[in-house]
Amino acid sequence: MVVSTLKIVVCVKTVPSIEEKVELNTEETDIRKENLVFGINEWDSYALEEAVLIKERTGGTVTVVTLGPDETHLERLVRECFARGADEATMVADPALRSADGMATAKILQRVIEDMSPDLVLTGVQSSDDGYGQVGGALAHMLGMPHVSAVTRLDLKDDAVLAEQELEGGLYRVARTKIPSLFAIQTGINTPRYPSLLKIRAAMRREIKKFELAELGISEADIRGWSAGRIRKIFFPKASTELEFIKGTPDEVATRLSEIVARMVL
Amino acid sequence: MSEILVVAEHRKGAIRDVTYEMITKGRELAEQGDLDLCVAVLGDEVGSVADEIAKRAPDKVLLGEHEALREYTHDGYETALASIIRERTPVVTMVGHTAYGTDFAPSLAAGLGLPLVSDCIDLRLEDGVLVATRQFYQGRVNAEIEVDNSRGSIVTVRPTEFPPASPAEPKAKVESVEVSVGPEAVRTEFLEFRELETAGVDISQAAVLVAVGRGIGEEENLSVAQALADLLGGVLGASRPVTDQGWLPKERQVGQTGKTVKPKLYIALGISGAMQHIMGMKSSDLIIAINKDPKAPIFNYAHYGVVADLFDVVPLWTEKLREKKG
Ligand SMILES: Cc1cc2nc3c(=O)[nH]c(=O)nc-3n(C[C@H](O)[C@H](O)[C@H](O)COP(=O)(O)OP(=O)(O)OC[C@H]3O[C@@H](n4cnc5c(N)ncnc54)[C@H](O)[C@@H]3O)c2cc1C
Ligand SMILES: Nc1ncnc2c1ncn2[C@@H]1O[C@H](COP(=O)(O)O)[C@@H](O)[C@H]1O
Repeated sequence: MVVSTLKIVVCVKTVPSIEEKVELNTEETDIRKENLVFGINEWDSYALEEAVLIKERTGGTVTVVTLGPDETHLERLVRECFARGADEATMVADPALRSADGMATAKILQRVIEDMSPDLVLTGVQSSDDGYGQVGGALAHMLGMPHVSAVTRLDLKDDAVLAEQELEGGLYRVARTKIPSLFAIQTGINTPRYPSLLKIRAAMRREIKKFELAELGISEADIRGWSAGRIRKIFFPKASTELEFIKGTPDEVATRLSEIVARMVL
Repeated sequence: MSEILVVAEHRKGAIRDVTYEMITKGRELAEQGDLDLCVAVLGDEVGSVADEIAKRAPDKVLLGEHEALREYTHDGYETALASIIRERTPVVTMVGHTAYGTDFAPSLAAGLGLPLVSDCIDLRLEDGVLVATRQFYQGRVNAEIEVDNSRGSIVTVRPTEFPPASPAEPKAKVESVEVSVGPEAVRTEFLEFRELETAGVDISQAAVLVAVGRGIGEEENLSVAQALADLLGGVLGASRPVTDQGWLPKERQVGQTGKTVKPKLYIALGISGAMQHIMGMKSSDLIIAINKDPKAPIFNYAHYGVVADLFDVVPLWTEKLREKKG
């Protein structure tokens, strides 16, 4: 079979940037997110770029799909994806998604994606906020597709796909599969392009398909049922007991550091 | 529901450490729940792997052999494990949070309709209820999750988190279990392994490593770290974003998918300390970390920490070392 109009779906997530500002919420079940800056999950920017590269080589369409509790964040994410080369977008914004874990997320993605009958589904290896590393594999099963995770090379030839999976310590495993299939993309596979200002402006006018959970026949109880359990509490990890913070002016710090390593090395 | 099941991980005939680490934690769970600890070994002609694992004294080793399991595929593992899990209904099935484990555990759990908690750093049973600890936000916070495990559960376990089980008596009995994997079941065909081509420095041999992360900002700034490394007789290492962008070759990468290092001195500059990085360097003799973010997880593993802009400190530090050296 020769596929001339490849249908590629990319799952993208918007995640908070967390440098320097992590505080727990009052219930101690999550961090406070009100003042955090959101942007595309690092792994998903590589997945999207890979989809656009495939489209540019073989023809086809790239559809991004995203879920999340905050409509404004999702819309900004989708506009950025348009500017980076996506053709279509579907989003599901609903506050109830706050409590969806990896398995519940995969279930909802399945509802959105199965009607699209994609040839290829790309996800990131993991999301930088939740770090489940499970949505791709679970979704593949739900869509009845084989998958390869942590993909560092993807070659398409008609309906055959050669995928290189990254294992540990500089070892890779090369596997062959057929479309339709799902691949969880690892960073470094390509160089994601920066969207130009012109493209960002053009993306403002593009149409986005929006769903609410109820339209997909999904309730908050479903999400709870699909999730593995409930978060009792969150807390900061303990520092190693040996840790000493060196304080002072840069000059004082530099002096102390040189003393420490002088003993060690010189 | 009377057992804890550990899925052994092995590759090219070698048993991976995470298997023994899971036996340690699995034994604790088994005691808490008054359960048996079983280890499943899948493959083709892997009897010697099963015997080796039996010496670490689980209660039983289940040996599932089939020619379709000669090389790892997610379909092969899922098909074999689904029938074992359906039959034995373990309270908890433990899988390594490794390249293979993260490849098959999610689809296995989805297929069985079982809850999955990934990348666990602690596990315990409270009156039969599984309580799993995992991290969010790349190691910035820990969370305790109460798992709805009434029908069983699957967890993936972070490597290097628990001490490996030592050989002990009595050696476990190895029991063959029937696994049937039809030829049409495996949809991803294994072709070959490939190893990273290396040419230059072997960072795992260096006594001093100055490792740079995304905080170095741009390629040109590497010279700041290089000057420090030169004075200390060390070499530059890197976190993944630095090698992804090609600022340093891949062979300089420290971590799960890079190299595991254990130098006398490890200096982390602008590295946050994601677990995949930590796994590759946490047993270094002396760890010094400089990071702007006082809550960066790297500090949880460091001996000395400096909360500062690395560009304010490193050039001065280098200068003082140069004076010392004369
Ligand atoms: C399957 C898999 C395998 C992986 N394998 C590896 C691996 O082998 N090795 C690895 O490293 N990663 C690996 N990763 C990636 C890992 O998850 C992290 O994304 C990565 O380690 C982050 O690198 P970083 O700390 O340099 O960047 P970031 O997490 O972005 O951190 C940058 C840090 O620099 C600090 N900073 C910024 N500017 C300055 C400044 N001027 N002065 C001081 N501090 C500053 C910031 O506060 C921040 O803490 C893997 C991921 C996956 C999913
Ligand atoms: N809310 C979401 N919306 C769309 N895609 C998602 C969402 N959450 C996770 N994904 C996809 O699943 C991948 C793995 O995420 P995770 O399993 O959460 O670590 C991400 O890189 C995304 O491609």
